[in-house]
Amino acid sequence: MLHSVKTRLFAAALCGAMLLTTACGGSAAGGTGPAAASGAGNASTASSGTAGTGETDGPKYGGTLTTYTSADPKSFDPAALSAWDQTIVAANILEGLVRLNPEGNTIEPGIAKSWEPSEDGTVWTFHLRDAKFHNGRVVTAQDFKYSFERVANPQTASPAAWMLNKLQGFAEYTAGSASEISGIKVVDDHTLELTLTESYAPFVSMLSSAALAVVPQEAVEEFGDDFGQHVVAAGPFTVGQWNFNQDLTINAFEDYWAGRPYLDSVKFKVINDENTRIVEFDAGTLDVAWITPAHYDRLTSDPRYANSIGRADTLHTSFLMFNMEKEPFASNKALREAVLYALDTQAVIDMLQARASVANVLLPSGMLGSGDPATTPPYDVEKAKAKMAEAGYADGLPQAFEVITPAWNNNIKILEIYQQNLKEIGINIEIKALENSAYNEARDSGQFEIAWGNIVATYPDSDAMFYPLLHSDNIGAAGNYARYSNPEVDALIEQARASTDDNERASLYQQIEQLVLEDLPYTYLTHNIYVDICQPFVQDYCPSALDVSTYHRVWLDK
Amino acid sequence: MPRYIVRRLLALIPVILGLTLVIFLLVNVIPGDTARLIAGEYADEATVEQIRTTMGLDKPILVQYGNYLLDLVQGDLGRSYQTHRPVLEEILTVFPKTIQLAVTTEVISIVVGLFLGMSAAVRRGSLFDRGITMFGVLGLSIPQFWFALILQLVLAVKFGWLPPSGYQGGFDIYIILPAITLGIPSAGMMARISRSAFLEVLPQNYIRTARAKGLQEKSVIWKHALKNALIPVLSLVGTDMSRLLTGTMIVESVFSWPGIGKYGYDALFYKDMPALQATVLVLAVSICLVNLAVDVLYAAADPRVRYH
Repeated sequence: MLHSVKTRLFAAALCGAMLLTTACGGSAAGGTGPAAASGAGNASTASSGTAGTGETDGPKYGGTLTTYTSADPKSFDPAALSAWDQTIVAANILEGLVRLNPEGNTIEPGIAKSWEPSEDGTVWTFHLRDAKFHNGRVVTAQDFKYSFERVANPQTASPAAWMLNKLQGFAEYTAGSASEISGIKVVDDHTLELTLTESYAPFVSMLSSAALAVVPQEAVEEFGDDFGQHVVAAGPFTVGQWNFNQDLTINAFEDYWAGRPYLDSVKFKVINDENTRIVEFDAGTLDVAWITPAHYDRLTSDPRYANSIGRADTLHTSFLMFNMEKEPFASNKALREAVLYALDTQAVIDMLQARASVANVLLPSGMLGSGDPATTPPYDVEKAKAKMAEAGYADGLPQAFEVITPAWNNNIKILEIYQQNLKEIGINIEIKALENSAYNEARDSGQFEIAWGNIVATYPDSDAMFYPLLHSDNIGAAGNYARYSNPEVDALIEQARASTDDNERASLYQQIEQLVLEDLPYTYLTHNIYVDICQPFVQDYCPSALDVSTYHRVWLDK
Repeated sequence: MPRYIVRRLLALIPVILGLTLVIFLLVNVIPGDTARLIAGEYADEATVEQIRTTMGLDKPILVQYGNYLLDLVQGDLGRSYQTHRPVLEEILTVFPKTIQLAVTTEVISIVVGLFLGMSAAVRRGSLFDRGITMFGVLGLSIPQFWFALILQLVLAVKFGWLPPSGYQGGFDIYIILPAITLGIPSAGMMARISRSAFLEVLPQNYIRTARAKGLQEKSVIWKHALKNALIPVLSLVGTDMSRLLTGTMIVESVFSWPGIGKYGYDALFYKDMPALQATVLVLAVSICLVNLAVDVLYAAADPRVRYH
């Protein structure tokens, strides 16, 4: 029942604080007015589809869109963001130096209208535009210094502090031996210079996180502990009426740097139960909903909604992982290959109503270094059996293995399919569904031989997939769950994150993919696709690749 | 009577103290590292350690419990890890909404259940009586989840008479669907219990005497039978109120009712320990208080109770 909420929440927990995206299809990034949305939504044929086409004269101002969160967002303090329910709303209120592009898989200018790295990639200079806070004051470079130091300060206990740890002087500041971060330099009101300890390309992508949004010091000090409930920031909407655990309304910010949003307001109802959301949608009291499996066929085949279904390829990859420190899989590559060829992932995708695509490599399509999307999995039972023989287990493995997974409904169904597949080649698995924290604990401490796992990019950069999952520095809780260690892969990952040349990085990532496919610590399964539905009058709504839909280019045709 | 109440209140203190210990220990054995959760999935060990120290999570568990208790007696239930706000403040916004729903449901089910049970007892063996018995069984055995969905589909989507879910301040049309969902099993149970209570009272000598005096049947039932049939009904109200206060999570979730069930669920999900601890504590204490209230009502209905 709650599995997909949990999937989303889990994804969000991984996502950390996300992001400022604009509606799909719109072409203009900056300039004036929410801009260029008309006729942009050619709906659901594209991989990242916009809902709502509408044969109209163009966007209209006004109206309230009603959507949902699954829990009360509780706080929009950038330093306190962690949950999905916070980030999906926060992305509309907060803004930082950069923001996400419409598809949600790369970045575009935010309050910084441009930026450039130094020759060696360690000094980044940001040029700010004339943007205003919700309280009317102009945003300056000093505000960014304040906001970043606030997030980095251990007293603030922000889950996003680590995103700044590449800044020069971060360690001294957090240890208390320096009163400021030396790597943040305010050149003038409109120029900010950030110095890193090493060349680090993903840094700019990280800055699109809502957790690194700019906030005015005077408001933080005025509200103190209640700042999260009275947040003042520089995003397209301001916090309006908020009934705890009930609903929250955000209102158009008239002085937003890109012009006010089309909508007057967006109302987020707190609806935990995903079936209730569909009931509300059917009753016309909710304008946007994630489509539950039970209603998928009905809603997607309903002609009224033909142009109202939005799809988003997410920056997500699921996999089965082998504990590379435990036998029999760790030292037997043929055995791992046997598993790879045994899995009928197409059957899984069919079961998921095609709300996932085949993952033959780690990177989802659209990210730097990803090739053409795969269409068929390497499923081949005969080959799998041959590999079993090569592995020395022609008659199957004598012992059974527990495969741990979070207890989400879909996961159990997915693993039941794989259970059958593996049984065919003589590997018996038992599905051990665990409550989230118990799963995390077992996964992080390596208490498994095979496990189900997934990764969601924390920021829209390929490094967010490779570094945590594959670098040997991150073995365990930090993301390398398979406990995989290959010095060559480590070196390439480091080289890719240090390079500021995108072409070079892309080719490095492809090399890494090849090496990892050789070693096979993970067998990749699927990339998730989110499918949202809107009322037919909702135009240019687009579910985001990072599941943080933003509303400032959405408009209502009614 | 006041002495009786004071005695019972004092007896609550060790109970609550024991509760705090149990709750604290239970919440702390839930798997998962709180500091890691706050620090974020990809934070480095140093950051995690820093948070552990700042929040006092590195101290021995008994010291942590001592600190918790010390704050508690000062009325401080801690601050939510998520909102950084006092948990007490949050509980005070969500708990009254659960009470609102529970009390509304209980009042309706007492009135409806008692009336049905009484009517059935008077017409024992009739078709009406059998109908009521069936209603009782049905009310108890309908899955709440399914029933809620059917109510939503029929009354909200098909006919559009009522809003499918939400909360707008309490005693308005938004309370109808969740109250019916919760109230059907309560009323069913109440009907059954009050029916048998009346059946036990009705053959008693004093009822015969009342009838023999020539009293009207109405007066016999309402004045003489009712008060004596109330004892088992009262004890049911006690357990039922406890069920309604603690067991509304599903109904709150389906009808987006912003009560304590939903609050506790979120706290558990995000491992927001102060919020979780406070939720469980507040619920446990309120159950104690409900039981106390029931005992006091017993005493009022039956003077013999006071002297034991």
